[in-house]
Amino acid sequence: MLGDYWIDIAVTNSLPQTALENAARVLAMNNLDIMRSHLDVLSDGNNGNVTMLRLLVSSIDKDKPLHDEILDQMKEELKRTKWMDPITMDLVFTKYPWLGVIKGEIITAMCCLLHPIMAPTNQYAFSRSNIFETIMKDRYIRYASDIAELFLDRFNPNDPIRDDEFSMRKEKLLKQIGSDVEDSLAKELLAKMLDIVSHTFRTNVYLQNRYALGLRLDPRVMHTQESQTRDGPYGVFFCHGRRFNAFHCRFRDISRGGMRIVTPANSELHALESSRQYEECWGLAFAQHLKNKDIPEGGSKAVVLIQCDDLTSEAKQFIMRKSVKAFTNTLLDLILENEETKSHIVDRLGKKEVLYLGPDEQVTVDDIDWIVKRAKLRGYDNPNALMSSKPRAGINHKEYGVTSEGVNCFLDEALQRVLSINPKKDRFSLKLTGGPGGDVAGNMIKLSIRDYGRNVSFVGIADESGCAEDPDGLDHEELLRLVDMGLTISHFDPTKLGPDGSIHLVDNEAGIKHRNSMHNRLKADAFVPCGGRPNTIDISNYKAFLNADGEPSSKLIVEGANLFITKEARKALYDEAGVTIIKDSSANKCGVITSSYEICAAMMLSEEEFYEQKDTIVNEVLEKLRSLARLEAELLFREFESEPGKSHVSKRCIIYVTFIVDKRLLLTTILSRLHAGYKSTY
Amino acid sequence: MDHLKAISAIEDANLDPYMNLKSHLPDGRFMLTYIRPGTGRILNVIQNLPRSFSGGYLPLTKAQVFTSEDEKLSISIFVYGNEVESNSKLHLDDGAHIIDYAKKIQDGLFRSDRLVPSSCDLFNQDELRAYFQKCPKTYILRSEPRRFLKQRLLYEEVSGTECMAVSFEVRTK
Repeated sequence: MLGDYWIDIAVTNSLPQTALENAARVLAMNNLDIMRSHLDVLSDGNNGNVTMLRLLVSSIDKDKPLHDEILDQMKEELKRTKWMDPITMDLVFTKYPWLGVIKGEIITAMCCLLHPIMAPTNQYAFSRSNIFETIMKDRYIRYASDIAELFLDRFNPNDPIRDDEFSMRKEKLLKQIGSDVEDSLAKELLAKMLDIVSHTFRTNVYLQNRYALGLRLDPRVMHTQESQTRDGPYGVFFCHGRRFNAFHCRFRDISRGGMRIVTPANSELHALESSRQYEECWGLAFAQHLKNKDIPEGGSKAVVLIQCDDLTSEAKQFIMRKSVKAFTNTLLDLILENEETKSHIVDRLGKKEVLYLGPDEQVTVDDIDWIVKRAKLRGYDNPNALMSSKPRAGINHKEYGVTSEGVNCFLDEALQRVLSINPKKDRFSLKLTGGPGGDVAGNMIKLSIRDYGRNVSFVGIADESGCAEDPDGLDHEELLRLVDMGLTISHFDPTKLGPDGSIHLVDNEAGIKHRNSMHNRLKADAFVPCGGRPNTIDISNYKAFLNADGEPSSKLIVEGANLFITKEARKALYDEAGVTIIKDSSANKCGVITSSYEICAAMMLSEEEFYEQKDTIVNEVLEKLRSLARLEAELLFREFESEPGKSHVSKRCIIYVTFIVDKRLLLTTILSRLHAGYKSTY
Repeated sequence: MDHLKAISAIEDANLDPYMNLKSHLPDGRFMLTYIRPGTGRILNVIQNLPRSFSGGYLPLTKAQVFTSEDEKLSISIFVYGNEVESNSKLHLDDGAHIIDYAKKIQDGLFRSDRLVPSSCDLFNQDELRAYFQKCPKTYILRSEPRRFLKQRLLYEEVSGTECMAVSFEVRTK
């Protein structure tokens, strides 16, 4: 007998092969055989493509006809597959089909969330693979399923369980786990899963057509005993989706900060990044908080960690864009107040939240556009205010080099005050991490050449593709060509190198070594990290920055990139080698100031009005940035010179920041009220 | 024709119909064909499809799975790579069968048939011709009109979004 059902599926922006495989897995799980199939890919204009699938399926079990309930459930399962992580798929399609798709997704999400929480206490016991292996064992999956069930019942919009019933069921589960589970590792993990349920304020798990699974967490659940003494954030969002996990962390109700995408090159690195993902997000958000001293908003950061090491470069790009969409749409699920969210989300926080995002590493102009359009489509109060650096009705950071304007001001001041170099008259050398195609490094190259001409000599530049080195200085025209074309350093024309120049690519071991050690090896007057992973220089490796005689390879560091050097390494470099370091929270503060001004303008002007006056606005903002950077640089050096011997120049600034942060609370309240007033008036 | 030759060769040799074929199409695309005995092996075939080729990444752009009437044999064909533009250029009469069928819907000829989609603006001739520009030529030529129009509605549901639309239909004779 031939097939029983025709199934038509239209799916946007999915790799066609993946869409077909996902559908085939759902059908196989439901005991359906594909008898006939057609797949075609249609254009969807600027939005991408639509994969059209038509399948003729036949039930393997002829005695059990498909009824409407199964078909409805299968429809939902098919829809979820686009956004489901491969681990969840294996869990619910292969290992434990009885779990069901939603519970499987909750369990996978919780395992991903457990890793950065638990790893700091014991990175070996609580490795990512151990966590998954333990929770998904036959013996423990039942408890994980019960916890997922409790989570679903607590947030069931039709009939959420009361707090007392929740506490009773939670205690009962804890008791069961305590008495039945012998493995202490499993016991700890399951208990923490329950803790996550208790510390969840909101979730989008019941929203139809959601992209990923999102949780608005009480930040206390993220902190281990060791980290309890440090500053806790105001709010944390966690999002789990297909091939990615993301955190958003903010230190005040109204906060501003960027979103970065992290794409580790292999599975080992991914596991490492996963273990410190929250730490990175917290650290970056805190650094941002300090950095936001010139604006009323507190600091925030979002870190999207993507597993893409097994993908082709095209597929990786595809997954990156898809992850940004899924993450930001999930944030919208959790902060939007409309009929859809009100009827599907149980709110245990009890207050409205507003988020402000901006671009950071690997976020593209298309991402920015999509986020704003999506916010508009979903009825977000002020969609233009959600994301800064918009190419049209905004001030794009890369286009105008706003962050680098500040870094350059600090560098200028520091060269004069620390090294007695007048960059307008004297020759000096720089080494940079971050490539000509990147925002901060590319614009640093451009601005340094604009302001100092032939006086500046770039002796080394390293980025994700490799590094170029030349003791005589890399050719300016060639560097500007790469900047203009947005290319990596690997595209540097070797014929433009001096006699002692060289290029090393990361496609071989020796090349990777050269690239990774460039910032330590090369001697230059100043080192300006404008890209690279956080904590690249730490207490275990800072000595590599010193020559054999103990002299530093550069006496001055201006941190264009965030957290490139750890606090301990910073102190050691100053104490042992007298390296003067301009901290990230001072040096690269201008990006966020621009975003703040852009969003203030977006609240007051229509898109068209902004666009009409864009040139004037941009020029005024650039002038303001230079003046704010100069003011702080002068203050820092004045303070530093008045008390020589202080460990690093930003220390005074921190005191200054703390004072301002307290004042900011008042300003934030005023801004919120102004915003509310503006909304009610118009 | 290649598939038929392969199947008859297997039949002649009295072997299990189990074969993988790889062909290069003249326009640079790849075609992979898997012939398998019986049914129920499609998932396995799909899961083992290549994700990249020696020349780099090529997207899967077409897939067709057929099962013989007696369920003794299945043929799965997967095409990787985009068709060259000159081959995919539409002629004026391409899709005429769909436009004719759509006109009948608009004229109310199938009003009592619940399997046929209802009349709507998307089925007007100009709208359909504009939509054809987004479709691969073979999809238009090969599609049965009712099926094509049902999928047009699904396309509309997801176009411009990141969503997925699914529709079930009991198979009738």
